[in-house]
Amino acid sequence: MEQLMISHNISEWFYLYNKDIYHFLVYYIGSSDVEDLVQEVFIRAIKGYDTYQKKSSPKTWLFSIARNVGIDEIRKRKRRRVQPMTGLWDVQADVATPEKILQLNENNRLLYQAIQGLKANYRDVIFLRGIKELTVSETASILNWNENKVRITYHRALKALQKNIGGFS
Amino acid sequence: MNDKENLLDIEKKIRSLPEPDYDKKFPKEAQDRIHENVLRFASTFEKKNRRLAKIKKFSVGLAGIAAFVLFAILIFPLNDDQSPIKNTGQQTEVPPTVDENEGNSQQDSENQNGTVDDPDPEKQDDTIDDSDTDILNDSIVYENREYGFTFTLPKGWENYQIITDTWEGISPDQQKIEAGSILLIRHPGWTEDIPRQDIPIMIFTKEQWSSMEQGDFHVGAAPIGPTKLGENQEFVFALPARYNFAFPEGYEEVETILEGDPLQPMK
Repeated sequence: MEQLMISHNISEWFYLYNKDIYHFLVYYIGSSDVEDLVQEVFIRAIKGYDTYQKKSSPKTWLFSIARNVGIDEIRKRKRRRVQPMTGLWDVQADVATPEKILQLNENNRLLYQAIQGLKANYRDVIFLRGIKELTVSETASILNWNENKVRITYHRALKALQKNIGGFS
Repeated sequence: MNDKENLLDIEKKIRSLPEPDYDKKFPKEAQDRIHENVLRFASTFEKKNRRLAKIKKFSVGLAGIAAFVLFAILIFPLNDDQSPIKNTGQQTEVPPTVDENEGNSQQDSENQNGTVDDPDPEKQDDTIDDSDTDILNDSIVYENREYGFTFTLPKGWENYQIITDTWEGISPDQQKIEAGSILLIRHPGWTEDIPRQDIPIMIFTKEQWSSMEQGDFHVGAAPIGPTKLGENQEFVFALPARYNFAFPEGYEEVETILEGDPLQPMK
């Protein structure tokens, strides 16, 4: 009975949030190759369904899983890049960057590169609050911060971004 | 443009970053494929969970049975512990030998190694002295020819059993250096469920007794040594210290018997 509930909920959540998660991961990872990661997010959700607290929103819960999946994937890709001369594949040739996927214009490309140049917690809050336009409360829930920290960090991230892009505006 | 406006402008630009073209990059077919994979995984996960739940239930059941068996193993020896045989502190690994009251005088004389005595006072002229019985008025006598002593018992002990065990003498450095026999006269009313107080009689050679008295070894864990009941030319007969430690049924009667100087040497 409980398992039927898991399948039912996961199925429903999949159709509600799979595009949001895909969108988030494309920006977070910096790659278009994120279909498997979307699947991984929902598989982890099934595995961790017991830990899902009904009081929290499934959206923020899935985004927090997606963020962890993204962090793991970035680490994995970094490790691959430091394996020299394997000759098996070429990461650079394989990856379609968000610039290509999203067909970013020059200004947006510079902005995206500036975001990627930020430190990790600034990037997190920019992706969630800025790009995904989640509320302070939702962002706080995903990052496990308090709302004040979200506000302050977001403000600082914007300032850092402003500084990085210089005369972009 | 002030700082606040600049930040709002950057936020606006961030929010204007385009979303992927889902129709091309993440089409419905791809979403359905992933959805199918996810549900298939959910189904496998469910089966695995059910299997684990069954194993868990089975393990819990098994653990319960194991706990019960362990409990039973622990409890039954504990019941045995109530027997004064072990409480004398002279038990050894060798299980005591027991013989029910089936014997006759011939068997008794055959059992001169002392491991089994089977006195049936009605049948055994050798073990029960009728004249003594008359004299002692409602008493019977257990006679042990191997070690040479008699032991007077009340009539109520008729059909008693003799159980033979061994005692061990432990040196101050915890080495087993001496051993000897210990006879237990067991009341006919003794049962495993309700054990009664046995009458233990330790057999020492004269040399062993002397050696023990000099502190060369001790018997059992009790801080005091056995109490001499009597002796003949070869052996000393003694009562183990704290023999009635568990105070089983009949221990008062045994105390009364022992107060009456029941053991008499034959040689």
